[in-house]
Amino acid sequence: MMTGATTLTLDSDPAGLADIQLRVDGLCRDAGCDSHSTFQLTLVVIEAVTNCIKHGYRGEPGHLITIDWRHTDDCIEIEIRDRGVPLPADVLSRTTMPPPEAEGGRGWPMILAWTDSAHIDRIGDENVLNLTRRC
Amino acid sequence: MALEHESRDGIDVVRLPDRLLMADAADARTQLKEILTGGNGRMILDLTRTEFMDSSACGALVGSLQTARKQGGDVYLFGMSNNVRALFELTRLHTVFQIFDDEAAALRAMH
Repeated sequence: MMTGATTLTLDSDPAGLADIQLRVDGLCRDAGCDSHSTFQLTLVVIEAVTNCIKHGYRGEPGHLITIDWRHTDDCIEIEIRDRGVPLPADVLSRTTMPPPEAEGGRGWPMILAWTDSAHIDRIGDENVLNLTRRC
Repeated sequence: MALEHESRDGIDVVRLPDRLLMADAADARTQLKEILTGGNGRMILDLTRTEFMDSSACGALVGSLQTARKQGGDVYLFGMSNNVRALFELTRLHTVFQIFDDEAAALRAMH
């Protein structure tokens, strides 16, 4: 497996999610991830960026989201930053999947389930989410 | 995004797109509800082309299931990829939807 790093940026517009999905899918494949890991890690990033748009920027386009991607021989590290409001405590407290009949509340539990670590901090005026996954 | 839809012996068969993300999930939820309420509440969703979906899409499918069951109907799924199946298992959606390998099996079961 090769090592590398790249930075992706996007506007806080849900219409940009499809492009991010394709780009992260490509980064995973380039890093040597198999189909399952590629799907899962791409979904983790999409859920995290969706949280930035939905909760951080309250669905308002025109704000910056940054994704820093690094991969080493055995690990992928992703840092996602936005300048919106912090993720609500009730979202972060959902560490297990809601009942299957629930219409929402799956995003953060998905992120936790399909990463080896997920930590979110408020640094200055930024929300900084750090994710790692061994591969 | 317009969902492809056809009726087969009173059962609405709807083909989902190759990807379903937050940007389109609300629209998909509205279209599925309109199809269900315009029919008899029996729907089969074709996921053959669907390579990627997120939690918003899961919510849209659960919403359609609730709409169907309020009408005394149901929503069955077929053509699920291994990756989407893993998502359904993680979220336990496989416990509330009946999932089939192909359209013929789903149609037989719904009849």
